[in-house]
Amino acid sequence: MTLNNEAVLALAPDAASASAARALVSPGKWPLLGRNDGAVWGECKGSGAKPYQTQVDLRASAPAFRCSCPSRKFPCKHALALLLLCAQQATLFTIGEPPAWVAEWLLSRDAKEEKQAAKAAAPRSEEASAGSAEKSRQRAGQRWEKLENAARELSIWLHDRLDQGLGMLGPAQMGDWQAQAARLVDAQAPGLAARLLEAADGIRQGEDWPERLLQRLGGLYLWCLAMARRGELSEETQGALRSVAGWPFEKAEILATGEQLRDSWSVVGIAQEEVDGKLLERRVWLQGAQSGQRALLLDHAYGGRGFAEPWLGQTAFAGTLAFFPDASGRALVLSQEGGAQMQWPSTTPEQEWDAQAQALARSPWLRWQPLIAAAATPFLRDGRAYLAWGDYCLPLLLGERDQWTLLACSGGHALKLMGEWDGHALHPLSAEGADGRWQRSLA
Amino acid sequence: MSLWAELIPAAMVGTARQMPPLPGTAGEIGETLQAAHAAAPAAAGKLLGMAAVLATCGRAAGPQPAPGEYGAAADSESLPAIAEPALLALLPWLLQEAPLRLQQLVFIDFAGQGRRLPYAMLPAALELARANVALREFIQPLLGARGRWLAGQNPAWRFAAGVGESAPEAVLWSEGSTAQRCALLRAERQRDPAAGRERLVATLAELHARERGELLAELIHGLQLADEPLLLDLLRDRAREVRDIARTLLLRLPDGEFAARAGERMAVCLHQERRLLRKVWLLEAPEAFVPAWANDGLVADRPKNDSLGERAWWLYQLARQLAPGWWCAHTGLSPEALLHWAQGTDWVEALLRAWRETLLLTADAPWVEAMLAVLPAKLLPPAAAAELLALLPCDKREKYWLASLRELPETADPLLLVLPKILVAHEPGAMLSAGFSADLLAHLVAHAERQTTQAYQQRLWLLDLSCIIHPTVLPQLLDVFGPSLAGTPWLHAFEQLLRTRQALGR
Repeated sequence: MTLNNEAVLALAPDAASASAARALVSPGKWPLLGRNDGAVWGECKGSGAKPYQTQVDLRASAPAFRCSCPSRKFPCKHALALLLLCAQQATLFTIGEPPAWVAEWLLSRDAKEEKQAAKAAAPRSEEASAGSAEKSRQRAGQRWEKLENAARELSIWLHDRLDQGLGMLGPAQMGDWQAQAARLVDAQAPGLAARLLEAADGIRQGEDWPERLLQRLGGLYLWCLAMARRGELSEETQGALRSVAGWPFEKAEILATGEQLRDSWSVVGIAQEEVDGKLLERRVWLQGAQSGQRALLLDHAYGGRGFAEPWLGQTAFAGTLAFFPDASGRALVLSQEGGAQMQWPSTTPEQEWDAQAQALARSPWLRWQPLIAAAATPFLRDGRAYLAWGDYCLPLLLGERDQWTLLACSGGHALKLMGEWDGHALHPLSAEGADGRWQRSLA
Repeated sequence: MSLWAELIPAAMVGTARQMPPLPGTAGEIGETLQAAHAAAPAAAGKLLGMAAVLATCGRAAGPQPAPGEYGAAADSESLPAIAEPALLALLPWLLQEAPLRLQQLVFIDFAGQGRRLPYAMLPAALELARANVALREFIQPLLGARGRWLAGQNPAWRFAAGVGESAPEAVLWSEGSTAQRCALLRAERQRDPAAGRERLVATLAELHARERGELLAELIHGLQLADEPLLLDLLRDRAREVRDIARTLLLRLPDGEFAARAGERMAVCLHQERRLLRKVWLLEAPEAFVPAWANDGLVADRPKNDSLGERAWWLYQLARQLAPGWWCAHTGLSPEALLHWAQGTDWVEALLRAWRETLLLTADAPWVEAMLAVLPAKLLPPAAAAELLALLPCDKREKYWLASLRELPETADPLLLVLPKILVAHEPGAMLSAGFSADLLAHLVAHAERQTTQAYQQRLWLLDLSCIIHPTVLPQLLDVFGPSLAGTPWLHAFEQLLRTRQALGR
């Protein structure tokens, strides 16, 4: 992993940790600092009598941390500060043999890795593998049955709601909607439950709420109709039905059935938002230079933990992606090498909208479309931000501070810009102007 | 989307009561809608099916083309941006958390080098300028074309929106920011004072009080008797700050009619008497307020709760319309002698107040020194002394402070008594001399055990002192006081400050 300020700060689980770490970046606080080829370690003066022992294993692409402080955040501020100090003032670290408490930890990590690799590579007996394949087919079949039942039930419920009419919906009816969502969760369709609750949140919000609610209910009904004719649909569409319901794919399934593509991938935008309380969702959008294909890496982090893999916007790598077999554009990174240059595609607005329509044709339930504008100008009208792009004028959704830094980057001139389109507004994630770059600040 | 409008009534009322209509539309969408309508047996199903078609097709269609008209783009830059990596890394901290004096120092330095801020820092800089009026004049030159354009986009930042430095004079005058107009007027007054005055007169009516005051203050350049009528007029302006500035300028015209009238009025109150072998001056405050005096800006009613009596109030007003030089000329006494004499009259409070105010406006150095030397602390409280001290040039100030440091009583805390005065008198961008800085540090160290001030206040002062102390002494200051800050968030601030000053080279 390359050590620089931005990369280290991207590992922070939240903004408070990042600023706490910055306050600890002073040599006076670290009586012991050392490093060797694969690891960095140090002792930090804390509030207790004994200093905290912090260590970071840098050998793999994703760093591993350990610290003796009682913080529940991961990585803690000491680990972040240690890395920042190493990035800014590497000369402070004495190069040499690690002390016992570091060497032991590294050895135990190596032992764990070997055990896991051995387990994965161990040849399973033929019957055992055949038996387990049969079992998983049975489980899949059972799950599909549950979903089909859920679809029938949801369809009846939707009919009832429309029969009664949307005009009578109010707070008193929410109990019923929540009960239906709970039934969907019981049927192992949490994704649908979430969509239903989102639709419920939109009731009587804004002037055009009936239209928006009908759109969402129409989307749910479409899923029910599709589930009823599942057998006639392609593998890919069935995959889409699964993903919408919230039935995750195993890595083995993805590798077996999904498409794999090697290309030079540019990280064109990163979005991070809180869903459901303490759960953080991160969407990393990639653009393939030769194939022109777009991909989405989706991660979640819970509680105080940071994301496992650090990603930096407006960088690039050469490697292979394995796409999920669900027409969503979601992918896994199979291999990753450095040394690629970030490239912006030069598509026209008409080409982008066309690609969007194609993607929706394969899976009508997509929430986010990645849009890339080769030349667009953000501007303000009546205090609201818009993007002038070709013949189009799109509303922009972003925080006030980001809005001003984006305008400062543009200065009224055209920019290359990437954002997520949700059907109504564009959420800009990154941009490049004639004299500098811009990225949306992470939550 | 009129197709939705056809479906919504049935949806709202309920498909049990109303059959959803089939929206009339041709083409593939129409056919798909028909298919959805036909495929579902129940009315609700028909509506849901059509909603599904419209939702998906509507989303796939994307937005309607619409014109996005926007204003002009920013001009190209004439100044280079700050590019040193060390300074760039410190800019976010500087714009948000640094002490005011350090910010002033850095901004003055950048402006002196003719640099502008990088684009990413512009919103933070404009916000800082909005919140901190004292910093506006220092930040304005650093904005560049992009910064001025950005300021024009946000009503809260309009104050910074001027025009480019290279714009023609007429444009600069009509559309520039206040700071730019002041600079233009100043330059014109230096070339052709009469033309400058005419320009100001032409625009006075449309300005509000603050701008009137700022532009009027520029008349000090090339001040001449011909300006007097305008100034007399402005003596009766609505805003007090404008009246004060007009009075300041009039005080600098000792040959004008204003000065002549003021002198006559005061001369009536003063007369000489023979006492024993000497001639002594006696002062009597006016018995009554002459109504004609109101024309020159004098006020008859004294404010409530003022410590001066009514006659003293009138005397004070008369006195403060005179330049200090008049007293020396009229009585033939030196400033020191006049101060001693004043303490012997009944009207010392009124006289001293008037003299202090006029000195703040005219900055007459011999008078300032005399006041500081002669007056006891009872008549010249430390805050007032600090204000006067600020009028002296830097080396005289430092001599005075050294003297007061040496005269500190044994148990006094130098931090509490001397440091605030030094800070109040400080000009933005200036630095204490090396010699004085070393002496000051020596005193602070020697008396470290006597420090009675609270830790928080002490740290604030030390932080401010670190902004103005000479660069050779700064590391020593941090060495001495650093250990007491270990473990507090202040240490970070001090270290950032040190890094900033090192990166700046000052």
